[in-house]
Amino acid sequence: MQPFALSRADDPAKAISAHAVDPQLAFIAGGTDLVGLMKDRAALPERLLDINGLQNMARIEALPGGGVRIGALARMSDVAADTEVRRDSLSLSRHCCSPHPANCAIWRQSAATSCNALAAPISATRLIGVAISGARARAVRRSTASIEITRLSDGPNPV
Amino acid sequence: MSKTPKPGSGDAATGKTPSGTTSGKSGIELVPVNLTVNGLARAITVEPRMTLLDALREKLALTGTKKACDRGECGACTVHINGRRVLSCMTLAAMQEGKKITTIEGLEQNGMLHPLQLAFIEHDGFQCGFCTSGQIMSGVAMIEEARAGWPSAATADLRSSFTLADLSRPEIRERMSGNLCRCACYPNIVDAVVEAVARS
Repeated sequence: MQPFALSRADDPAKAISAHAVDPQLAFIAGGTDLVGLMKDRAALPERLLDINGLQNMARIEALPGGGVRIGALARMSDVAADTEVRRDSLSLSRHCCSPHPANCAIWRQSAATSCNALAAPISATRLIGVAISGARARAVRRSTASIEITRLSDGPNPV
Repeated sequence: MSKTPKPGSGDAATGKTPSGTTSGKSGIELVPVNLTVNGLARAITVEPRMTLLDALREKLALTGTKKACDRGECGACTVHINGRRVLSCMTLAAMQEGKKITTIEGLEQNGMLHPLQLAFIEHDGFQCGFCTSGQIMSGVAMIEEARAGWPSAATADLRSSFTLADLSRPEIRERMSGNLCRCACYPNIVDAVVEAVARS
């Protein structure tokens, strides 16, 4: 990997501000996506900001009108196992434990969303896109899981 | 004259206990990381780009964790971070401050192999052995995940609570699908996991 500097975030507002003024800074959470891109030199950030220390961002909450709100640091396996998700969003739970070997790394260990969620209102499309990589993600975005996406995108940005 | 680093001896690359960040060969500041590995407190300094896998192998001389694809696709580098299985090749060492890491070297307790290690031997769950540490680390965590009621893509009814009794061979195959074995020892690996579950 190309050398880069790494620092640790302790405040969401500061993290967003840092990203806004520094286009060469990238957030990192689980790392499964970004580290792979950096190894392939497809992404070359000069600075990484580790957001795993941010508080209260791994929560999975049921929304009053149905659906769930998933924090940007929720792990895929936690989403898959969550009681509310399993009750209300079976397709999301199913996709979070995708059987494709290439996805196992993601559901095992990575954050549920790209860290870019910090810089803008969390996009549920992005949530699903990271949750289910590759061709399967594209299919899900366009078809059945779009219902889940729409539902999940309701509500304010949990950040 | 260089010395062979020993597990538990601290930062094998610099030979000193890190007290702060210093400039690395790349001109990037090194990051001090304090973590617990197999029950021992360790202090290392790493370049931010060093993966946990490389830190374990090159800084801490824990070479039981294997480097194969280095892209998160084969599972050979699986370790536990705070009890959860993680691919160490896709995880930066600098992000592990305060974490508890368990590697294959840490499964043995008081000179006794872990039940899943014994089951792998009993059922001949390997040939070349290169994937074995990852298989076992994944299997140990997978059994705990099943015990905790986590579903998998093979779970027919996601709304029902999952129990260890539901851990069928298809479930085991699915839950272990992130660990590849080019010797194709999968039937024996599944046998070993079944045995370990029965013993637990």
